[in-house]
Amino acid sequence: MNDYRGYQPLRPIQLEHDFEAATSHLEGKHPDSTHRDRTIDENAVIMAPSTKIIAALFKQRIDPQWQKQAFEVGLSVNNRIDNRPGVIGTESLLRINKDGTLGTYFATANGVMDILDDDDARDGLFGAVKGRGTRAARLSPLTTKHPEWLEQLRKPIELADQLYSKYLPTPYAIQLAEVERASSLLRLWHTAFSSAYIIRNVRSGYHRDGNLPGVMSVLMPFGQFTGAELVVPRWRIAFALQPGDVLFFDAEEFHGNLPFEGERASLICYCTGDLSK
Amino acid sequence: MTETVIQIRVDGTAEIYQGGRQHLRVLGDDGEPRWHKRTSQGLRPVGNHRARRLERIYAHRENVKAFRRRPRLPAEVVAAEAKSAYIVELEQRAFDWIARGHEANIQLGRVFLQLKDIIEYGDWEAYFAEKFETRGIPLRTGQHYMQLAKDADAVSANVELFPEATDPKAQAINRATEQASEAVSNADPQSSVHQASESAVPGAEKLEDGPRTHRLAIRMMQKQWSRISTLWSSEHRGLGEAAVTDCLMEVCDRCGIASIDPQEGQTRI
Repeated sequence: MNDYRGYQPLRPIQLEHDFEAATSHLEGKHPDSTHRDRTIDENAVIMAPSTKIIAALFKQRIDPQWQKQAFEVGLSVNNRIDNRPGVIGTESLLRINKDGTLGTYFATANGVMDILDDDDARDGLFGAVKGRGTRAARLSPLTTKHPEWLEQLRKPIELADQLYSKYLPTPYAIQLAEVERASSLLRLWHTAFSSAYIIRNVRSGYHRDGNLPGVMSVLMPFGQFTGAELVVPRWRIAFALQPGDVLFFDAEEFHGNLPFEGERASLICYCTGDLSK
Repeated sequence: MTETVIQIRVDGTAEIYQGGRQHLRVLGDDGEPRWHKRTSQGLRPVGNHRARRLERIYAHRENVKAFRRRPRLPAEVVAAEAKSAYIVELEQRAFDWIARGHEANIQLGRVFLQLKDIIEYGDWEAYFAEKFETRGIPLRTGQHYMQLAKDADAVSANVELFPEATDPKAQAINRATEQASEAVSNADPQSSVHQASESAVPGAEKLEDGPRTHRLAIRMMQKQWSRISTLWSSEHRGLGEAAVTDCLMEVCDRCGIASIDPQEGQTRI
């Protein structure tokens, strides 16, 4: 393993084509290895054809001890992922009642949930939950129930915040302004992130996250696994992520994972929208 | 620090830490070494006895642990770092503006293409000269923008670049979703809420004209969305559903959209 503290320069990579028009039908579909022209596996800053920065990858930046602690949290969270069909790569369907009639609520199909249960797929959300309708953003129940788990994630999140402020100052400033406007309770320590979402053993379908627009989310994978490259179809690129890596990207673009072998947890930190409502 | 450590600096001077004190070895004008100790009043010469002991350590420095102290950055280096950081910031600003410009060029190219389709054949160049060259965009530049737009749209619209995933996990989830979807379409559409007034018998015959749920996706402004969300979570939801259905039926009638009569199997408007 490389020295995670050493300075490693970012290589600028400029992409040539934008495939946005061809990706509109991909929501909920699973990524395939043919959906990428290029895999990025180095310290790099990725620019769109218009030279706008769309992602930045930092390899081996997280201390192995912090990785271990974060992965433990990933193994501890125990929420069934039945409310994010797009992430799973399925669709939300009307529930069927026991008497065979159609229910009035939408839910992820039981067959799909069985597959996820076999994989021991779970998730957990710390920090702010997006407000809905007239309801303001609030703290997630898991944050108040297990603050010690969030504390175990503190070091990687603060490291990500430092990298974010240093290498991507423009989106960082926008995000920081948003979290500073909101209640300090809805902020993860003194970082520019409001929420930390950890998800375990999920091979995700293409989805958009619906967070604060115009900023970046950060993704940090943990565990022991092979595969699970993150594909961004709009640019036909994939990021080969390993434990210790830190990826900043625009989660409002479609993104999803390729299949993987092993145990994997992903920590995603972001600033939710409508935070200061 | 109780350990004795030594550093030979690049300028040839040496420093030894011993007993928690820093000693510096510098060469005097006569070429002889002089030893100084750092005190609260600055550097002071050490006594002869101490100087001889330090010189002995220096002479056998291979036996002493070496250390390397990070040099303090001179002002020039600090200024150079600040300068390079400022250059990076300015470059970032420049990239942002270029990005806007490039996107704008492609959009402008698309508009030119649409205009060219509308303007009568043979009149395009004269039209362009009259309207746009006076605004500082020569015809050649306009043609370049149109080509950029064509290239961008031609590459990006190829849906075949993204086939279905074929790995077992994706296929298993797709299969499970399809089965569930089929089960939903075959299920009795009468929801338990709607059945309340009727005799709800499990497995009863499916009514063709029974209530169904339509999941509409309607774009609207944020304020409208908030109000409707409040309505939907209130006890007036049924009223809202009925009003929306009636309104959409009116639109169907206005647009001449026919419906299939389930009793007769005929089309009626």
